Amino acid sequence: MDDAFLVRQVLGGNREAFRLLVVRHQRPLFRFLGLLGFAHDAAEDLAQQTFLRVYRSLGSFDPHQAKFTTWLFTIAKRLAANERQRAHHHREQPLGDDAIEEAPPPSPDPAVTAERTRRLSAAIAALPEALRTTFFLSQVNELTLDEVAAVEGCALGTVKSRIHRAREQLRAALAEEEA
Amino acid sequence: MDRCNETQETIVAGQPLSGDLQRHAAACARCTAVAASYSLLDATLQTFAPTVPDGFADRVMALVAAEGAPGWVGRWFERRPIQLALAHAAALCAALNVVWFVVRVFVADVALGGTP
Repeated sequence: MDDAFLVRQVLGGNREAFRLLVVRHQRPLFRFLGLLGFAHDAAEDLAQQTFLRVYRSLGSFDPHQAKFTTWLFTIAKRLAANERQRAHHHREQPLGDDAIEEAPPPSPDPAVTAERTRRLSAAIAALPEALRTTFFLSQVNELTLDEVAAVEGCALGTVKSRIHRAREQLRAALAEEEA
Repeated sequence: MDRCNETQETIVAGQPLSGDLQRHAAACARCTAVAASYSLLDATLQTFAPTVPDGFADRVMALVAAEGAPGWVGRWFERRPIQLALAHAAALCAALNVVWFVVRVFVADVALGGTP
């Protein structure tokens, strides 16, 4: 069952088909929001808003124009940008440790891992907005680089260049730590 | 040197290395160092992954249930059938204009004894 089929099912009145869409895409969406620095509660709130917005405007989705994932992440990106802007007016929203799952650590020493994560969080926060979102979209395995370009509304070459620059900057930030 | 460039560009871009490039990276000290520094980055990035909270889909579906049927909230003129209808209407208008022009300029002149 592809996404377009499920969308047709929902539009035809089978609301439970929407649950399959949610279950299928919730994980990459949370990964994207987590990378953007939204902690658990904020990420859940944004993910809910994204799916709700998707549901409300499902009638406007045209599978001939875009893949469902491209559409979903375009909406998520907009909502995340709005939320970031709103949060910026109230307070700075740094990328916090609470956005981080207890995943298998890259180093056996938890203190080293925590320090690396902190340094990387700071480096991510220092990335220009365009580099950050393009890079994070590329980290979501569901999206090809062409689809990232579609979400970002830019050329494939621009996407590659942004990813290249973002990775170089982040690697340099981690390398400083190791030196 | 070209092999080093190709290998390092692929690593920096975050793309998987082909078999050839993997073999080169394993044998080349500089490429090995670049690969190691980027694998540290990739491993650290893996820690930025919030889990999906239990019952998330249920909560979304509860919100959806309160919404009623999914609707059309986009701009009406972006809808494909509307766009097709507008395109056909525009084409029809253009055709009618041509006919109207021909009738007025040519047929009327002929009727009055003019030269088309």
